[in-house]
Amino acid sequence: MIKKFFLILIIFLFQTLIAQNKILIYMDLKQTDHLKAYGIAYFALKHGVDVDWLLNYRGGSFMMDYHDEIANECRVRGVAFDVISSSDALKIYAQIQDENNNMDVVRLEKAPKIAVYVPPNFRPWDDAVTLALEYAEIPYDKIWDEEILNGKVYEYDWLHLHHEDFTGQYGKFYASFGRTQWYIEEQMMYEREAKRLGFKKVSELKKAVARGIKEYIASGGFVFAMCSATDAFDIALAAENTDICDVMYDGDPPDPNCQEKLDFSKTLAFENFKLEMNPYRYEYSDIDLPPSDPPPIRDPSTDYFTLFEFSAKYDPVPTMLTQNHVNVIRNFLGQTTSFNRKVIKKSVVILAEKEGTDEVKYIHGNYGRGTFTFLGGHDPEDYQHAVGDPPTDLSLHKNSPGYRLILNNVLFPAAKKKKLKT
Amino acid sequence: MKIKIIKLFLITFIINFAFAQTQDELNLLRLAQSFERAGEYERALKIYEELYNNNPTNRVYLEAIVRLNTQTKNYDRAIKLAQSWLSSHPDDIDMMARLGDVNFKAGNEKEAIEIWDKIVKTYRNNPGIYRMVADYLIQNRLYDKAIQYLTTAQKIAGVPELYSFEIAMLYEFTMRFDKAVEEYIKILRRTPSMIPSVKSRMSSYINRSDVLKQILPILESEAKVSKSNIGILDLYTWVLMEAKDYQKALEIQTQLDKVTYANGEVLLNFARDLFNQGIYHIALKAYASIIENYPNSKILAEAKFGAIRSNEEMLRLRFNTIENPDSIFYSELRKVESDYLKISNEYPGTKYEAEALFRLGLIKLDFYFDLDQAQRYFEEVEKKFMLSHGKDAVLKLAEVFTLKGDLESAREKYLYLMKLKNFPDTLRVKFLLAQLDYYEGNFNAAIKTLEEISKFTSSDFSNDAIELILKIQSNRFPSEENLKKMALAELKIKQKRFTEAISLLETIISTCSNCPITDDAIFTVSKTYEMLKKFDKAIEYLEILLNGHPESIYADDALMEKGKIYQKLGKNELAIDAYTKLISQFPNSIFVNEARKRIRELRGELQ
Repeated sequence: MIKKFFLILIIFLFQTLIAQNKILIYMDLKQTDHLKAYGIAYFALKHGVDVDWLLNYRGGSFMMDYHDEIANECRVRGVAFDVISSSDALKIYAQIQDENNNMDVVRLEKAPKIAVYVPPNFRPWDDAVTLALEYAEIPYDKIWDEEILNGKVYEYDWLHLHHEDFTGQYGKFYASFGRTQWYIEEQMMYEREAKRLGFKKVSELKKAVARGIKEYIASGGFVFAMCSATDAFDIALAAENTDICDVMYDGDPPDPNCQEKLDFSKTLAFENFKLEMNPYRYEYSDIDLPPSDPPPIRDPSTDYFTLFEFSAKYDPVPTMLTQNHVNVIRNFLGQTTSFNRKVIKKSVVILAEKEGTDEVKYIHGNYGRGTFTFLGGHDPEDYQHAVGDPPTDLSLHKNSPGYRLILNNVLFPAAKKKKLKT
Repeated sequence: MKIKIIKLFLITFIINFAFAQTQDELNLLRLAQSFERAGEYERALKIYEELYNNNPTNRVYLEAIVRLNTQTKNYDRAIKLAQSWLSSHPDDIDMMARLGDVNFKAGNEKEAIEIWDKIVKTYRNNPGIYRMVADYLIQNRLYDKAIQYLTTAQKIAGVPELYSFEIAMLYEFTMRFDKAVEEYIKILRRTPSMIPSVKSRMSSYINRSDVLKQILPILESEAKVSKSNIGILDLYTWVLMEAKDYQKALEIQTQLDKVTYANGEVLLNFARDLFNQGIYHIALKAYASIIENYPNSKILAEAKFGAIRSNEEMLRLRFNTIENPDSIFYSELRKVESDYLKISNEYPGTKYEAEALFRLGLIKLDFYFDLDQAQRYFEEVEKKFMLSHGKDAVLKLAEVFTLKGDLESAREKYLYLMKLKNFPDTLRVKFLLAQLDYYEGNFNAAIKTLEEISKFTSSDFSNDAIELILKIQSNRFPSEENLKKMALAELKIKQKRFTEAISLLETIISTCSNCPITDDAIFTVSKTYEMLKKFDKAIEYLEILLNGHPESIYADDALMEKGKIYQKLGKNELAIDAYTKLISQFPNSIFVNEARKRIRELRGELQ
């Protein structure tokens, strides 16, 4: 009888001990697969396990209660981790909470529901975010114009936009790709869709979609945009009351006074920008810096941008968005590579820039109850990703700092809102 | 005289004045055009208006004003000007069509269509007018209406393929590929030589399954009608190949061969393509068709040889996938052998004889492991065809001698090859020579050669060389004897003398349980049992290695092998367990990615 009692006691003690252990997924240079680590955090959240995001601790590490399934999943997915005791975990928390350390803990409680705005047709380029989500094994849904207009987008916590053209100029690809089958089909499909949804022109539909996304942010949505979806989005909002599209895009010429008619009070991030009205030029406005056309002569080996360092305890949001194992990151081009500092609104927070230049790479801002984050460039691991290029194989870039910036955004909506320190 | 001089002066003055005026006008026009090009429409418009006011009959100026007013969205002014011009020039069809265009852009869609319809109704017998109006429609993306006008033009002209390229393009724009292909068919019916242009137009979408589904029935019925049209048949074959309907493609190629009186040449090219793509069963049919239908053709020998090669390749594919080939398999193989013999007798002294004999040698070696017979065929090739096919045969002969255990003869052959001028595969042969030294226990000689090879870092053999150097260097001590046994065991395995190999390896294991070579020996025993399909014994030795030599460099490999064997036996749980141990215990192993992939496959997460 006594033997049995001791056996039960031992089992109980053992289980308690195991339960107190933590999994520490360190995110510094020792991590074997930074990108899949985000997927593990998402996996844990999906299975009801809270995750502590240790801001600025070993590159923005994740800590969670020990579970065999999570540990096993880390092994299978190739994510390096340590199993640490509760006392070691406490030491880490104490180190983070120390006022002298620029660190903080953000608790992630809910796996965010993710939507990616993507047309249903084939396009001869890839989307860095869907590549990142798929590699990290984070599930997402694809939505398009109708889902934005009918409010389905409100079912999601996070919306991603990539290389989209909300101005209705089909990416301004006309000069290079106007005769290709994919371009022609895209234009036909967009026109049909616009008519089906009750719009005379594609540009009108896209403006309505941009307004819909803006309202989604106002009501608490999180939007992350990359490449040309950033400036094209704001241009569409500014051009609400004018026609900026040339005849090959919407069948009639643009309003000759469209520049003067832009309403910058409607935009989220940019103001006082100048439109590029040449329909054959692969550029929307002077927001993009350096301009895409002609291609800038740069040396990829010396082209870098720098992440800003924020106070983790006082500015947790920008800190979350800039978590990384390095703070100088290799630059990458896109139709919109960076943002011209001169046209960024004062209310916008700059997260990364190319030092000593007017090129701002990564920005964040609030609108209503939600937030938006814009990242310039197309593919963080393909310096000059061209139309028709094969997709980047992320298994060859497991520790990509650029892709980490994208995934920071994915987890950011999972954070429990904290009362701001006064 | 005076009057004459005055007259001359006056004429000169008038000419100069008129010329100066024309020159000024031309300069202004150029200036306006350059403003227009620069997008400064208002400044350009001002000049055009000035020019037009001075010369209200000049259509160029008026057209520019209408164009720029349209560009700046002053549609009312553009319409008014065009209407005014048309009231005095009612036959200016182009201006009328432009008026339709301005109306359309201004949002007066109904008026625009009425104007365009009126033009084509007025000139209903002139196909060129339909084409001109269609251009305006296309500019405004009214593709269906443009198709309607252009097809009417075809009927009026009585030329079915008139504007077919344009119509096809419009159908492609609207994704009606079936209708597009009908237009291309019209072109090819009349001019089969237009096939390259048609293919070039279709190439951007031909690989799409939805398109193939649309166009295949049309081409099929057309091919039945246009039985002798080269262009149609070529197009149909091309589409069938894209759709992977090789059988049907063969039928069409047969038809094409007949109508072009190619005497099998068309079929031969088709068969070669199929063979190179690995579609052996249809390649065989194509070769067979040539043999049957063109028995007197000069390409008969190639067709015969191609047919036998196709059969051989199909048997090789089966041989690599089935566990135990049955009697049917071997009877088919014997048929291939007898066909090779037949062709070698039928075409003596030709490349067909050389290749047939060489293939026979390969069959004897790969399928039967009949070393004597293989040697006989390779020697025959060497003897009769040294200049053309001899090098490959000598290389194979050396391999046969190695397998027979006659390492001296093998070395002789390799050295002979090394002496040949321009022999392209010297690094391979050097490595094989080093291997012979290794099998014979001449480790110093082997290392010397291997070090030479390892310097060629771009070669595949460089890695193999480094691996063998490491093996020799790390296992020579404390005694070379065990390494000699190991090398001999490896040779025996190559010679398929597995029992002897196992016996040698077990001697190493039993005599020196803690030597550096022991784990290698255990692992090799396991692999040998696996070759013998004795999986229980293979697992048993892997366990010995994992439990008795946990620090072995083969430990991760052993776990991987264990997982693979269990997976082969359908014991998926045990396989996952082995792979998981590999990932946990050896996170830096080169097998980790493969293990992860296999776990996920077994969990049903990957296809």
